[in-house]
Amino acid sequence: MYTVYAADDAPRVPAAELVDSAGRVVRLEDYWPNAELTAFALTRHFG
Amino acid sequence: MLCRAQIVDLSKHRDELLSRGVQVVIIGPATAEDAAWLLRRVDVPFPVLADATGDVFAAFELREGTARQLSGPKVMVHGVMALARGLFPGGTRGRSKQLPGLALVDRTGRVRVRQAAAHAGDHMSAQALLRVAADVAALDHAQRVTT
Repeated sequence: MYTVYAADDAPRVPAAELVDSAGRVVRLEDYWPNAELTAFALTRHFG
Repeated sequence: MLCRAQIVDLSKHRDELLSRGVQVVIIGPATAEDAAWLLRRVDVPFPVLADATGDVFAAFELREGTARQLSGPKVMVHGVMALARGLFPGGTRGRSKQLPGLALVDRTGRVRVRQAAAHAGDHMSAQALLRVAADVAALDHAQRVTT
């Protein structure tokens, strides 16, 4: 089940810090300006 | 294994997704070491990020699952389907009670689609992602026409 938001009603991406596989601190906003749409696939775990 | 099934599916459709303007970023409820572990085991053509604190999962309103959501009959069916595709269990890293989901974000930082999984095997497929990306484009087009 998913929800599609119109541009005017869409919530903003939360500000949050993550780390990449090399241990560097990154933010979601480091990614979303680079494409028309960015799919953040949040997995249950790695494996 | 179910996580890997989604990554494999998205990887196979990477070029088509990119041609439709969709890039993929994988986020797991784990540490940087866990992300590096995954990349040693699986060829992932996307950035892999770790959300050790769970802040991103919480911000997208993705919660921990119940026993039924994590290992009930629907999850078993998806597990069997993954096995049939040659994906065998090989260990996992991260918070195993976390339910998955997906957020599709536009270039201005707005969340245009949010999916919260009903159970642990409920991953959005690449084909479904292409469809919802088309839905977003159609919605934007309709809005431009009417304004």
